[in-house]
Amino acid sequence: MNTMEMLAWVRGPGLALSLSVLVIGVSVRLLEMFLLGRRPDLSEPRVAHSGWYGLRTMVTRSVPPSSCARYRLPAFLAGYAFHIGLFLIVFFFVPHILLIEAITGFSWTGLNAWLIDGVTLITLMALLLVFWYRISDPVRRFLSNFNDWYALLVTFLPVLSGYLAYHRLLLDYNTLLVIHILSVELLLVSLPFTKLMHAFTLWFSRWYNGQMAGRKGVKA
Amino acid sequence: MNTFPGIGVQVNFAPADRLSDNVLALLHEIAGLLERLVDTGESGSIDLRGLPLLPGERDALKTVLGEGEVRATLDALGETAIHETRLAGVWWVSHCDRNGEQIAEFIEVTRVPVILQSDSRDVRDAGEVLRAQLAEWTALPDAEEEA
Amino acid sequence: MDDEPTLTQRLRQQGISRRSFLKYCAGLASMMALPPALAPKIAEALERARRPAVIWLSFQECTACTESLTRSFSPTIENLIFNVISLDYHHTLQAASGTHAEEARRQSMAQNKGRYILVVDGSIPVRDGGVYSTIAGISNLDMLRETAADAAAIVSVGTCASYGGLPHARPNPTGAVPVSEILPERTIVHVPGCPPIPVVISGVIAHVLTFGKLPELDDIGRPKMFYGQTIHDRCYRRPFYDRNLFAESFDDEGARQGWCLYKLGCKGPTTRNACATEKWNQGTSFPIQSGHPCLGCSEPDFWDAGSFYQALTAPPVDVSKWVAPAVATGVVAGAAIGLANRLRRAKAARARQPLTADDVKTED
Repeated sequence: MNTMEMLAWVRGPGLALSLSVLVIGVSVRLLEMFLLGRRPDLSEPRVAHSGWYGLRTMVTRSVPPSSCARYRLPAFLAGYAFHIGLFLIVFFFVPHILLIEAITGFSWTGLNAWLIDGVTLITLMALLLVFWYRISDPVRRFLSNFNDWYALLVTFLPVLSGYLAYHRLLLDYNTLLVIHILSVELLLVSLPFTKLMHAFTLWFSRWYNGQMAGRKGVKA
Repeated sequence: MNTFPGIGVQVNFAPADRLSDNVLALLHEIAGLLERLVDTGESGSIDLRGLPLLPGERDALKTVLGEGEVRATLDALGETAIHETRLAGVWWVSHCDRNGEQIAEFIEVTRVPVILQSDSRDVRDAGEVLRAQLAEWTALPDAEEEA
Repeated sequence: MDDEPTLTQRLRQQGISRRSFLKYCAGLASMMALPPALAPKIAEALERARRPAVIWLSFQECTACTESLTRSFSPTIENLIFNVISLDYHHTLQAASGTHAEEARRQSMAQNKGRYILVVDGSIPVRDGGVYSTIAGISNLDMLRETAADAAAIVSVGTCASYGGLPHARPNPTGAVPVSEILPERTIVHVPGCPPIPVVISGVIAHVLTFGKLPELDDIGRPKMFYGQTIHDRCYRRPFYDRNLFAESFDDEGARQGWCLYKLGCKGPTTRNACATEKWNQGTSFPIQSGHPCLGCSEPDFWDAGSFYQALTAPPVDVSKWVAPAVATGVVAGAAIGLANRLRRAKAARARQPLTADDVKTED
């Protein structure tokens, strides 16, 4: 199998396969959770529309609480940086938008390649910083298991390989492209079965927390 | 002492803001090659065909470099036009075939392009041919006398 | 044939001066993408070169490779190249036909055993014993094997001979394969392109003649000197890609401004060829300069790599065909698992034996 054949495979069947696994995995896990249901809350609700509190929490939880910033500011900023970075890279790099457009039909304006390039560099450094905190701090290291290291790795690889491919570093461009797409497919396949699932569950759990707290009349 | 008035050739460049990045990069390379020629005596050249130039950039470069004092034309399998640019030691060499189509184009940074110099074997051959011809001419009257 | 005159001797006989020869070598160096300083070395090597025989076999092809080589050449260079080689067999170009042509091939093979260069254009059909393409009653498969056996070097010209090309595209009714699949044990120089750039074809031949060995090849057999960089890397429209300026259609402002053609399906980033620098028609232009995206014609299976007009990142297969059933599968499986969990919970609830205060007392 030469590089072009591999590229054809990862771009075609490989992508279709990994997207299928992602879709199956995510729907199974979400349905499994939803169907489990919640124990009926028989207490008197303190507010009329507790659902609204759920919606509000979905947004407000993205805003950093001031108390967190006091504790290890760089780690805190790195967390934000790589999440925002990933979002910009995945959804605002023109080749990525064209891929999404080809699959879904939706399209929007991308950002300049050099801008995405800078964002990628920041994201890579933020991910390395996060890794460094996890490995250098004995408590975090003790609390980390395989799931944590693996999630960090499969997030890091697509960004790194994409950066290398864009700059044609170390290897031939097509080889880098194969590695980049494969690493993305590894991420897609891993997502439903690791803690990366939070990309989806985050919104539901926030809503749940907000709604539950709101019903009890607690500020969340 | 101000030496500038002593220089006979005036180098007038177009303002840099009108030149594209590619042309500026080439000019930097030429400057480097000129320094090398002075320091080590080593010649250098740039193959203009192998460069991803934008349409018009080649002409811009040619205009900026301009034409100097020396101009030469070779009739060798079609015309080859060589001229020294306004910069001494920078030569524009353009090889064409018999149909007038360009086959190669170089900027050579050297004292004299190699193709202008006479090949030592050709020089030797020329000497031998001339000697033989002279021998023939000087021998001619004797032969007539004998006849 | 050691008494045969060398190239310089022959050129001198034709009244070609040393300067002309040096000029020719400068042209060759430029053609082979070698530094101009190598021209005197090329001259030196060529002065010692003998005239090798070339046998050119055309199989499942459209003759565009030959057209490319013979049409776009400046006649002087072409004459010189053909002065350097002895083209003993090429069924489009040779005067002889029929049995005489085949006779010429066999004769050249016998006389130049182990020394001739074999050039192939077109793919070779192997299905049903190779009956789908024959020359003088000989299948392409047999002719290739026979001619390749004593060849000093083999050059596959064009994407068909190099990677199968159009005949190899799905569903490949003739079972077309590239030369390298018939002769896996041989090192074959691939000069892909549909057609290849003429100076690339002649540059490779010139390299073999000049240095007496094959040029350095990449992982799929292409000479690195011509296929070392991607079209995208050498494209004069590259700055527009970096600045996010794209033509969105063939007739919008971006197209008129000459912006990047990535969104119109340009395969430049994954295509290795010399179009962006060598260009076509005596260096006049190349597809991207003429406003058309690169098709990637020098890459294996470019016919089957999705639409020419869809962006490179667009998957070549219809992903929705996979994802829709996947959604259905996921929903059904999720529902099944969810229901099973509920049943299990209900069962556990039924089987539960509540602990009462009395139970606690008796244990005390």
